[in-house]
Amino acid sequence: MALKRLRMICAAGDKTLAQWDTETVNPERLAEIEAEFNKKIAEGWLAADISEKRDVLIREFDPNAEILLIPPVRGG
Amino acid sequence: MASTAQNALPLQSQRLDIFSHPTQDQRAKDKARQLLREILPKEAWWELEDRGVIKITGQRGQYVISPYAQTEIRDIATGRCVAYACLQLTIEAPTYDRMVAEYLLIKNVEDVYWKIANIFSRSHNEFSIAKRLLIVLDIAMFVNLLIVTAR
Repeated sequence: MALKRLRMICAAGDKTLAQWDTETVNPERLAEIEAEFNKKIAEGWLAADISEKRDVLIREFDPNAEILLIPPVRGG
Repeated sequence: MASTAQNALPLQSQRLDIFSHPTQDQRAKDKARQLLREILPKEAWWELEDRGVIKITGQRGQYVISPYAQTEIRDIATGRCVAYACLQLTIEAPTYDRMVAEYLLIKNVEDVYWKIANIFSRSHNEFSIAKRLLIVLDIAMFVNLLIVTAR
């Protein structure tokens, strides 16, 4: 069993948008999660694969990754 | 007297409740700090615990990311601070989340970080016109003081 999550940074720190087991998740559910991921990317959010401190930015949904969505950033 | 003390007890327990339950802000801060811990290499986390900052070395400099101050950009060779960078999230979030974003951007797309963040050159600010004028004014006042006291 390998549990993965799609999380996003928010005012409460971070929140989990979706959680799935890579071995048992059905393709329909995975497609829903991917659609949510793509929506955020289209809005300008950044995504990072943070599984095991990999810490790489990604542009495409990876069902085997622990994903963190980061809101758009600007100069302060 | 005894009744006064008894009356004070409920108040005391109420006060303890206030201090023992973290506020929503504190919970968010703790959660963001935990997220940062998940992401950072162990050495970087220890440095944050020990010195309160994250250090990351890129191609263009060494970055010192702090929860309470602008990010310092240091010359890799000399370690001297050459600029300050300011980056914000477009949503309201705890400061540790901003540190997560800065760390991931610098680690992965340093050039993009330089394009987005506001970078203030330190050498440029060091002797700005206002500071030079203040120095001249200070010298003039000192000379004036010497003249007045000599009379």
